[in-house]
Amino acid sequence: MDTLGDLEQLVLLAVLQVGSDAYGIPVQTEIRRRAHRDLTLGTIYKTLARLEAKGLVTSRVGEPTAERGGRAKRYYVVTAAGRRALRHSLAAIQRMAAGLDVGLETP
Amino acid sequence: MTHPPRPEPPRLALRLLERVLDPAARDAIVGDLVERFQHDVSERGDGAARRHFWWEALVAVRYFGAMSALFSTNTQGVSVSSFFADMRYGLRTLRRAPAFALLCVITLALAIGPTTAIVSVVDPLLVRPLPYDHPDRLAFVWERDADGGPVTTGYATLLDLRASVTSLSSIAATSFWTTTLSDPTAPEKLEGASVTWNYFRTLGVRPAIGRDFTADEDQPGKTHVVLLTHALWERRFASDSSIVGRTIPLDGRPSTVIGVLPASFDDVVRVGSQIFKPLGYAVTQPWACRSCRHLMAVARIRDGISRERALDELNRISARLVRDHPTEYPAAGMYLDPIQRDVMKRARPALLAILGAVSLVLLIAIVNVVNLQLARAVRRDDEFAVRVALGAGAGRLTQQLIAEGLVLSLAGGVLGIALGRATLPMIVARLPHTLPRIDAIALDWRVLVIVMAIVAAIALIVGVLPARGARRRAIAAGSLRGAGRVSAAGHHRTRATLVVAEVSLALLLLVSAGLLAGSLTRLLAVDPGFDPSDLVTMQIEASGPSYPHDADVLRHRHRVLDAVRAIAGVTDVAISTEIPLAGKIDRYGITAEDRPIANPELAPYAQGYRVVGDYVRTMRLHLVAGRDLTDADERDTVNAVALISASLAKTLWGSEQVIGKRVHIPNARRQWSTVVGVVADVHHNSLDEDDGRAVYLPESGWGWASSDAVLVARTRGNAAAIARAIRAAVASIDPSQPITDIRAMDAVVSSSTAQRQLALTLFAAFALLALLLSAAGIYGILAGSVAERTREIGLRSALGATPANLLRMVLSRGMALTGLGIVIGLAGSVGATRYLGTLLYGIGATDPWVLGGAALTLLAIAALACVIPARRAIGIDPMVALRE
Repeated sequence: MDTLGDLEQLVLLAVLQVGSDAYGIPVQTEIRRRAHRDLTLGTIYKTLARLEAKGLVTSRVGEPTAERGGRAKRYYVVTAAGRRALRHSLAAIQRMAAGLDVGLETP
Repeated sequence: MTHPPRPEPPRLALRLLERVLDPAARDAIVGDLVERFQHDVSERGDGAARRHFWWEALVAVRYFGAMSALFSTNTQGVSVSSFFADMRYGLRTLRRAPAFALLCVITLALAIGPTTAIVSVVDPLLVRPLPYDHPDRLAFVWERDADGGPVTTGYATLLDLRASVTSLSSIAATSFWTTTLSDPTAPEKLEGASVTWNYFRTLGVRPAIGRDFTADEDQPGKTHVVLLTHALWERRFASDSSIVGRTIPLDGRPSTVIGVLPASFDDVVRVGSQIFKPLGYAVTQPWACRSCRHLMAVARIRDGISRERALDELNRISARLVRDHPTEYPAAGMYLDPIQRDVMKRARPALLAILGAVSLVLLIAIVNVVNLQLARAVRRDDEFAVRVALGAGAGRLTQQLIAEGLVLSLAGGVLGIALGRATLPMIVARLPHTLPRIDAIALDWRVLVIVMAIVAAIALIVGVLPARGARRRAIAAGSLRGAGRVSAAGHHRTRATLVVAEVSLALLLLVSAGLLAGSLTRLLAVDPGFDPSDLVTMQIEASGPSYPHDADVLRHRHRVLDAVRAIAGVTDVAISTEIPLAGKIDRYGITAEDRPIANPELAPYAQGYRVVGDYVRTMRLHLVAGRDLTDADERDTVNAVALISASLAKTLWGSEQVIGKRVHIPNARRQWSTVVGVVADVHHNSLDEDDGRAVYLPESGWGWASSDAVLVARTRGNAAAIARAIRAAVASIDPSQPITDIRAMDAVVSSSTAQRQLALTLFAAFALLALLLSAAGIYGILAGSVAERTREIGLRSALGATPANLLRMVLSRGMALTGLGIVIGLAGSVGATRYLGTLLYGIGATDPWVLGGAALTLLAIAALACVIPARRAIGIDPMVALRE
């Protein structure tokens, strides 16, 4: 199985954090709020497209709103495979950090 | 309930996204960006939000643009992804040579800026199709005049054409119409046109709201319906969507608005028209006759029929009409001129000349940057040799230089487009306002695409040319250290050739600018036939229900004259239907009583002035013979009198004594008018060409009184203050009448040369740029060669060369290049300046003073450019140079 890249991890986690309303903007806001990283929407969508191609997220087209000039949103959901991949990646990190007494252990 | 206007994201960025984004991803991304933008505006303000939007948009385009598929292609080591790596590398190396990079970028920006502006102007005027349906099928229909030139047509002829022509699917006509929007608080004079009912159908334009005219409305007495342009509707009626069906007061009488034309509509037939009404002619009316040629006819050529075939048919019909009505046509034959070419006929040569000039500037700038790159490439031979030794192929090396070129040209392009955007309004403001399509001039997508294509071409040229030499040398060198010492003779020859080319192009521009300056000076020195200094002019009017009869209009004129005369500082005042050089033409065929001609259509045409007050004295016309018009002439209802110009006298009677002879002036109240005086010719149409034929008669002697006229007043003292006093005095007679176009006569004269002044300003600016760039070029090549020959120069001075010797060495090389460039440029300019053609006046395209002056200027600038390298050569310490 592919390992997840840093961006892929961030985006997958953000989609999970946002929940049912996960389209570009909340995902971007979530990453900014929690990870203090300013990703452009283009980057986020590029990552989501890659994740979708790997089958780690699925998407559906939502309703158009006036605020968006009549354009529809695209909502993303993390698939079971996505959750599995995340678990693997995070577990790998935790194992790598284990035993290092430099404040790197996960709580 | 009203909403505050929602802030709009940058339109250009939005259009870019809509256009290039992968459709599958488009809605989600663009929607998010717009949503984010709305959010950013409220949190961070408009400017920050816009900047952020652009940044986001560019990233999105990079990832999801239609071309993103290309980013992964890879062929033979020359690939798009390595190209980006090259661009990054290029950026780094350029950062290490900031002076070089800055010089290149500024040079390119200085040329791309004006190019952007000029392309923005030329594209809608000469290239882009007019905003009508299939504009290529539209053509003007002109009759043939006695002199073989085109002339407008009469209503009876139009009906005949419409009845018999088969190769035109429709033919419409239009006449001048000005009207006053009699709003009691802000009366306004509106430029308009009266049109046959099928005018907009012929153009293929449909009203945006409301309806078009009907055939029924195009009849006498039924014409109180109007169509408004979108701009007028916005400006005067606040885009009121309930306007259709409303009545508005025009000239004091109600007219019904039946529709509003689309915003994209722009009338090139009657430039500046804001309001339209039906023509409403019937062939029984005296002004609807065959010889009443005041209608402009525009036709749509039937699909599948060539213009030539349609013209053939028109010519056949014309021959028949002339046979049937021999005294009503000056000549047989017609014209069918494509509409776009026709409306730009006068401006086209000037626009093309300006486009040519800016292309030269661009060329010079490119040559300059190539030269700088060449010089730098030589200094980088070691670097290239390393890359070749490490396995870089020839293509890879070229790719790297093209990538660097792209970095430079993109930076220059972005800066240049900003510069073009800043200069465009200045150019537009100086365009003659009679030019069609001015409103369509904009730095839009089409322009950006063209400029970006130029930028890409520059990148290729700037990259490929230096790469050729660099590759050869790097491969020839074989060993790393030897690379720097391979002979660079071929390279020097290339650079020298480029500098020579630059100098010759700069000379071409300098000569052109000189010729235009000479033309304008000579033109403004032409005696217009009147004294334009201290003369105030303004358009006045007497129309509406308060002026039902001619006598009422004339009474208004006299009361105005009396009021203005009473103002201290006004020495003379008159009112005339026309003034010279204001762009209006009103000509009539004049026949002499003792020289009858069989076909009155062949009578010589003369400009008519109908005057009240002391026109001759106010304008300071020169009375050549006889006497001036008097108040008594004005009141005389039995005898009609007229003044004629010297040229008209000569045309009618040769050198005979003319005072007391009688002439027929069409539309005059009497059949014959007695010539009581002759005045010297006045330039009416333009300073450079005019036949000078004119006739002056009292307004009361005309068939009807004109509702609008021009007041001219000779002033003494503070002209602006007096003009204000005059305006107040005129307004006090009847405040409901508009007063417009208050101008000094000097300004009228000057603006009649607007097209030339614009051409001169641009050419002068371009010539200056070219001069600077070629000086930089000369400097660059000499500085480079001094640097490369440091060791040789050191050796020379060690062997006893004096500073004077060294100075001569550098100077002679610079001057030789300049001299060669000047010789080639002079030869070229003899051929090329002929294209300035109609812009030149009173000066030959090979004027020796201009040619000589330009050559000397260039030589002097070149000498200055030699000074710094020469001083550096003298300053070389032989010991340091030799030890290196």
